[in-house]
Parts: sequence; structure tokens; C-alpha cells
Amino acid sequence: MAFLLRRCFTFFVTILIVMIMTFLVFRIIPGDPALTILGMDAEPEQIAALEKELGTDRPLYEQFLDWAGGVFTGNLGESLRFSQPVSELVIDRIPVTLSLAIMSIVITMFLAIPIGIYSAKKQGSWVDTALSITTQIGMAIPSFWLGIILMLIFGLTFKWFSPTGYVPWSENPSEALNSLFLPSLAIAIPQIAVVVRYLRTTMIEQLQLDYVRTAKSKGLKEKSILYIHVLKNALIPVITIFGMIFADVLAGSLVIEQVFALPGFGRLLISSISYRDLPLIQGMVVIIAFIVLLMNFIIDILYRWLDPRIELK
Amino acid sequence: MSESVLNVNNLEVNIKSSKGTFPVLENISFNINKGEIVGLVGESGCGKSMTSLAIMGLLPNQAKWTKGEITLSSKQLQSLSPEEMRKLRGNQLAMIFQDPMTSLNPVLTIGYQLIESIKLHLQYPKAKAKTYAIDLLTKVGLSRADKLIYQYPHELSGGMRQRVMIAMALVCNPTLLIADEPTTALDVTIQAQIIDLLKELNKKEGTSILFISHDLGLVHDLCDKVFVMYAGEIVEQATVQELFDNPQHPYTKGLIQSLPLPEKKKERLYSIPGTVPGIHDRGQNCRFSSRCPHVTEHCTTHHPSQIQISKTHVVHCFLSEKGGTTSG
Repeated sequence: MAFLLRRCFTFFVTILIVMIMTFLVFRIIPGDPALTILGMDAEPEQIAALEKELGTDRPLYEQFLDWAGGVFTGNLGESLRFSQPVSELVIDRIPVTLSLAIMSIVITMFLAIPIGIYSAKKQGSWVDTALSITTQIGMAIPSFWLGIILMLIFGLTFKWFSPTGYVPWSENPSEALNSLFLPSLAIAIPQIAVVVRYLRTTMIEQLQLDYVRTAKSKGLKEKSILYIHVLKNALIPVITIFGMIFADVLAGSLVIEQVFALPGFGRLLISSISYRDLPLIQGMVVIIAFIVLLMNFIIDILYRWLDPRIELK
Repeated sequence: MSESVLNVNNLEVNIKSSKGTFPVLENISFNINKGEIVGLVGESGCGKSMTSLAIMGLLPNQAKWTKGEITLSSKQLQSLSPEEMRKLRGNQLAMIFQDPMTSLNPVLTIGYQLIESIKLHLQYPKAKAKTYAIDLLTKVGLSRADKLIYQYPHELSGGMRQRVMIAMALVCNPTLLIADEPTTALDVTIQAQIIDLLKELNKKEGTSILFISHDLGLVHDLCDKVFVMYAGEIVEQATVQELFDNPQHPYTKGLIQSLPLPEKKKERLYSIPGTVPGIHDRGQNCRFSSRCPHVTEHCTTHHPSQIQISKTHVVHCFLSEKGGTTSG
């Protein structure tokens, strides 16, 4: 219980810091929303009137408290550009970005874990060396470039997957899966490379330990030794990097959405920044931060479940 | 004659290192009969653990079994496939290890680790396997076994963990139990309890035990027969009585002399000078010659052959050959 309380407290404080930072950053960097809306030739009176309407003429702390109060009561404010509540604009786009992120994580886990184990098992062989070179390359390639290449090969040449566009899950789940597969893969590949390398190292470390010898002396099959005895131990350090990977994946999907023309968070966020649509930007950043923190929270609990030596108190 | 459970004949194991291939075990021959407890003693680096791993078929990758036969109750182990060997482990052939703190998997419950063995070898359904697991834990002297199966190794003391290890080894009532320094990491009172447990098992179930130790005192209390190993060879073998009453090899004498006994309280404890030669410096001489107090010219150039002292007592030493010189 003490653990959960402490964890909730840090969760809240982190969200607050993220809010303060996003709020301040867009007040410090040049570019005034009223000026952007009205254009460079606007009269000073017009600007002043709009600033009063938008509330940007008030002191910073007042503006912040106003906004923060809204956020904690579930009101993210209204977009300047679309004159629509931020929550409404965001809700349409969340499924696209979240689907991308979740699919990438799933692909990463399903490919990285068996490959990592295999590489550790074949330690020192030519397969291991080949895998090590491949993962090195995989880590070095930016995902947007991978996205373009995947689109070119599997979308345009072989036509196995739709190269661009998005079909909502509610309309046609298999089409939705099809449209999200290539971008998810593009995001996942560098992450797979990271996890494979990390898992390989921890597996090799674990394989030297006494309990593996005990497992062998019990006559267990190699499969149960690797996939149950060693993997459960090796996943403990690996699971901690999954928190970072999730943040990476979310950032990656913001970029990949541009490449595959997916109507997700990324496109809305980038266009809102150039428009100085402050309430929309702030709202989206808070939501992204919330998702990442929530994911880390889940990972923390998972970590405690995997390692019984840490008590869930 | 009682029936033989394990027979090792002329075993040789080589190890590959960056400097070349070297023998770690040479000419290892011994026999364990049904219901016997046999001690294998020697300093660290003598090849005791390597011998047990060779029997288990768990030699490390760099090590290779190059010569000799191992027979486990009429099964020739060298002719078995890795899969057949795997089925034998945890079944007829079981092993417990030195450090019970690290020998159990830290993230799996005691019950899981015990039940997986039961399911694998005996194909029991889940409920029956669980009952059997509780029975085994009770049999090795653990109380509240029904609660214990849900606990993790870190919640248990060292002695309890070693008992769990023994319970795991007993799943299939093995014909041979190899105990590799099972009490070295435990404190003395717990040590005695584990030794008593092994004795009891031997008496009740007739399990043969190969007890590997560097502690001659424990071997004296527990074993029927003793093999003394030095630098990858067996230098002396005898019954416990013969070995302590009439040790032949200077190395055995040194080991017995270095035992701390109450009557020697005032004296400085004896220790054999020097260390075991590494695998790279073993030539065609008596391997103990560099540390032997009775070394002669002959010892440094020739390898001693086997000398029969009695029906059950064999030694590899030139001193015994000449006779007389070794008494005292």
C-alpha cells in the first residue's frame, strides 16, 4: 500500500512538472497566438482585443492556474484554430496513435524475445555474429527512413499492405490492422534491435548461474530451462527498459504518422505548433505524458510481480 | 558380492584452453555398490567436481570425455544420446550442490521447482504431483510443507534450501545421489543435520551416495569407502577404517594430519606445503612429488603405478612399493 501511495504521489508531481514546463516553453519561445491569428499587419487595438478574449493578457500564474484547474477537473480548454474543445479533437486521434504504439510494442516483444534467447543460446556462433551485426544496423537506422523503405517494398512493389491511409477499427478491423502494420514495424525494428542486444547479454549472464546447473541436473528440457527458468530472471532487467521503449515508440509514432499519412496525434501536434494553438498543444502534451507515466506505472507493478524478492508493499 | 550401481573405468577428460588440450582427469576408476556411501576427497582443483559432472553428463563445453567407460546400473553412459542422458538425470541419477543459496531459481516458488520435476519424470497430474511434493518436503524434515510450496527460495534459510534440493533429488528415488560438498556453505549445526538426513536416506531407501568433500572429518562420519583424488587422479582408495588406520599415500597422511582434533589443541595445525599443480604443469612424474616430504629422485621422473595393500586398499605411491618406509 505504501508503495502504491508513493507511486501515485510521484505520478502526480511528474504530471505537474510536465504541465509547468509545456506551459512555460510556449510562453518563452517567440510567436504570439494573437499575432499568428491576425497576421503581421494587424492593428495594435485588434491584437489587444483578441488577447483579452484569449486571456493571454493576464499574468502568467493566473493563466496557468486557470488552465491547470481545468486539466485536473477534466476540461482541457478549447482549441484556438478549430474553436472546438481540445478533448473532442484529441479523442478522434488517440486510437490511431495508441494502436500504432501498442502494435509496435507487441511486435517488439514477439520478435525480440525469441531472437534474443536464440542469440544467447548460440553464443559465439556465426548466427550470433550475424544477428549482432544486424541489430547494430537496426539500431542505427532511423524509423522514418525504414518506414519509407518498407512502404516502397511491401506497399508499392509487392502491394501486400496498403502504403498509406487509415481505416478505423470500428469500420473494418482487418483493414485497420493492414494499414497500421507497416508503420508499426518501422517503429518496432530499432526497438527490437535494442531489446535483442540487451536480452542476449542478460540471458548469457543468467546461463552461468548455479540454478541453471540445478535445472539441468533435474533433467529438464532445454526449452523449459531457457523459456521458464532463465527467461523469467533475464526479463527483470529487460522489463525496466520497456518503459523507455514505450516513450520512444510513442515519439516514433508521432514521426511515422507523417510518412504514412495517418490521422493521429503527430500530425495534429505538429500543425498546432506552427499555428501556436496553445491550448491544443498543452492538452496533447499532457495526455502523452499521462500515457507514458501510466505505462511506467504498469511496468513497475509488473517488475515487482516478476521478482518476488521485491515486496509489493 | 553386492551389485554395482556405478562403475567408472579408466575415465579420461580433456580440457581445451588457449594453450592447447590438457587432461583434467586421467585413469579414474572406481566402483560404488548398492547402498554404499562413498567419499571422494581432495583439495580444490583436484577434479572432484569434474568427475561428478562427467557422471552427470554435464561437462562444460571446453571439457571432453576422451576415454573410459561409466556404467550406471548396467547402462553404458557413453553410448547414450544426449536425450537419453537427460531422461536419466533427475531420475536414476540425481545431484545436490555446494551452495544452496544460489542453487535454486530465485524467481520460482519451491512448489513450482519441485512439481516440474515430478510432472516431467513421473507424469503425475497436477493435484497428485502437489501432494507428492508436500510428502517429499515432509520426508526431508521440513515442517509446514503445505505452506512452503508457495514460498520463494529467499524466504528460506540455507539449511532449509538444502533440504529442498535433497527433496528435488529424491523425486524418482535415484539409484545414485551425487552430493557435491553439500554442507560446505552451511554452519556446523545445520551441517550435522544434513549429514544425518543423508545417512537416514541411505539406510531407509538404500540410495547409494557419492559424497564429494574436502572435509575428511565428515567423510569419516558418513562414508563406507573413500577415494582420495590429487591433480586429476585417484591416488588412494580404501575403506574408511583402513584409510584412517593405515594411510599409505603421503597426500592422504597430510590431509589426515591437517584435521583439527581436540587432542591436538596446543599444536600448530599442520598444512601441506604448496598447492595442487595446474593442468599445464602435469608431467610424467608423481604429481605429488613437488609437495611430498618423502620425495626421491625416482618420484620426479616416473609415474607410480597401482599397489594393492589389501583387497580393498589400493595406493599409487613408490614408497609403498618398497615397503617399510611409509610406516609412521
